[in-house]
Amino acid sequence: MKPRPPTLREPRRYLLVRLLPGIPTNEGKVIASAIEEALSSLFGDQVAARVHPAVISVAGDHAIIRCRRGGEQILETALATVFSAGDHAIALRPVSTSGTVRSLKEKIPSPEKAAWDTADAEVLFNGERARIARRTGRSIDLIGKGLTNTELFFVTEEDIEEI
Amino acid sequence: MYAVDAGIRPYPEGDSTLRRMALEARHLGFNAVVVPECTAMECEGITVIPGVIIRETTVRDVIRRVRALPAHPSPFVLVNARDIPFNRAVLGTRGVHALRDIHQAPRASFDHVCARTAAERGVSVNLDLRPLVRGRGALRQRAIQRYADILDLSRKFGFSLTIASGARSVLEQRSIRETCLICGVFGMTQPEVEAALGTIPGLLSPSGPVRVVP
Repeated sequence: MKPRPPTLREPRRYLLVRLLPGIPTNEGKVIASAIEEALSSLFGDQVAARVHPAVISVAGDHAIIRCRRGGEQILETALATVFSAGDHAIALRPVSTSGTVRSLKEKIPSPEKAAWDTADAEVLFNGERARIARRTGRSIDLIGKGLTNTELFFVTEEDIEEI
Repeated sequence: MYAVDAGIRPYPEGDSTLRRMALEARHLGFNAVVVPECTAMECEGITVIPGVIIRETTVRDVIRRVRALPAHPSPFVLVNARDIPFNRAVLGTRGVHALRDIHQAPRASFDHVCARTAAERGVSVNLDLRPLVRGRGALRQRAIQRYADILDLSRKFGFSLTIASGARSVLEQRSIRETCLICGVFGMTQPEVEAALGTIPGLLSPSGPVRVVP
């Protein structure tokens, strides 16, 4: 299909959001449905249709979300009420808004700059064993060694003991 | 701008340690946090203000709890809202800083008399963001209605408001900008949100008449 000429396309804005936690549970479809649910439950289907959000890309712990121009603030408000995607607790922190995807991609820190690693070491947290899922600077995300192995803890270097 | 989150719940209530939540609070633009059952300290550049939540159901028990608290350093004392007589009595109790859980109190439990008493006594009403973020349907609608009503009374009678994220995890903490957007849902403007975030230091050390010490 021939694309519309630029003058006939609907004006759009793009939001760069940081995904927390950065453990790979963040798939585009799951995030998109969480955003749609948050938007329609807070503002109703009519406003959700007007804002027309869509997840353009998910790269590492950042995602780019598209909306109609004028709906950025509504979308940001809805993003602040997203607390889970699928079975996982998440938070979406808006970083920047732009009229082009390219300028937002320039703002995504490269993996070297982000300085995080997924060291798979075991540590002691509160006397119990836990696995380090992610380390960003002094912040550490732990996965508890319980029955389900899915319990997340958010700690710092000072809160854990090396084994 | 000095911003205080009037209520976070770190580990073991939540999944994030106090140090990690303080780190996140600093990243999100806050200067201080209120933590129930905690000691006053500086943590990751954030001032940790100890808080006490009083859940007693009778005014007599509330007064007994308040009297048992240390005077220095004074913790931030919050009392769960209940029916009108209880709220009126609590708002007139010395040592109480804020009325909380107003969205769970019976309908019309905070009227113009409560508003006037709160303004005269320097007691604030705490607005918890948790029902707005995590609530859905009737629960959130009720919180929005109640907070809008409180905001109208605050504008008219001049009592202060405080805002708490009620976060039990770093994932539930919200930045100042996000707080403004969420509070905008019930009609609170950005200057009002900023004023509410800076209320607590004034409540803990209220200005009074000059006292001459011989």
